[in-house]
Amino acid sequence: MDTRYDAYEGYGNEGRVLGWPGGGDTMHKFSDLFPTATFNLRPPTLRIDTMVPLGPDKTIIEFWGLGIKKDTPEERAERLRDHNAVWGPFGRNVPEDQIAVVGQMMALKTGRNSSYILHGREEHSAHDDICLRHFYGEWSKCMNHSAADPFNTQVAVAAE
Amino acid sequence: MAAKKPRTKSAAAVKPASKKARTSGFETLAEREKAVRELIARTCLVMDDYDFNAYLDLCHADFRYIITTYSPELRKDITWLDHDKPGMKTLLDVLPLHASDHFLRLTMSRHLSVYTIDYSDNDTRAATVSGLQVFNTAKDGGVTELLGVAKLKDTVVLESGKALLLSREVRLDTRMLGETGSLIPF
Repeated sequence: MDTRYDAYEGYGNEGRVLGWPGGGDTMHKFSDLFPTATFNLRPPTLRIDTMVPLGPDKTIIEFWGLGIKKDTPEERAERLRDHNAVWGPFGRNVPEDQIAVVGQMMALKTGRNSSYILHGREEHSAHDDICLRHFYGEWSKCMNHSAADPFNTQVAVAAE
Repeated sequence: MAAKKPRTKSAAAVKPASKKARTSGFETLAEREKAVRELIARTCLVMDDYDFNAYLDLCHADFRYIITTYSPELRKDITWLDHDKPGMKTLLDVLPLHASDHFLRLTMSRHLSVYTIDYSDNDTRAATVSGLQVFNTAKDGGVTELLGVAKLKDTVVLESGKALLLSREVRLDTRMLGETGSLIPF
């Protein structure tokens, strides 16, 4: 997924001037590496998320914020500020993602959806759930089962 | 040149207080204390009400807000949030647009105790240390949980009879902020 923040309605001057090698300060690139890594490039920082499954209902998720090794102390401080403003524990974005994760955890543990549901969207933007559809698509190929019907129950239902 | 005639005791006693009053705008220590304590308390009360504009009105134009803690894993201090006033305004303006438990399922309340207030020589600045506890209460069911404890290290500007928050460091003890972190600054 590739978007530009300055293409969003209402985008204002956030004062970000520090970019990333190969890109400007307003781009946003998002890519998955199946099955357990996500690369999220929002200059001036890169975030890599990794997942370590511990069991069928438990996963460690780690969020790694990366900068550039040759940063000056001032550039490093700016990357840290910007990273944490969006992806830190009090950031604008990561707490939202964690709400979704907690909702998924509740659904997996109890079989019931969270009472607060975030609906996915299909609009080729930062809010698109194309990444999830990509994951399920790759899973289906690897497992030779449809992610929509992992236990092949739909055939039996159709036969009935 | 002849030496100036010494002032009377009463005149000498009055002049230093008058000089301070012209600088900070507060006549007495009691007035300054009240203004400082009320300012810090109001910053918590308005944030509890999600009245972010009121919070910013209590802040000086040169306001700086940081959230820090010590990481035993890294063995150093870490800064989790760092905003000037425009940055804080940007954050608070967009908060209601973000998916958040706080606006739907939780109320957040800050419990504050001002510990110490130290004034600058001319009484136009006050450096304060306060204890802060932040609780979340679920709207559904009403269960209250402690979200975090911290010290607030504030600098207050006292000028023209008005108190404004110049800087705030939220020095967290708590490093595990519930299941989802906090979209809303403490």
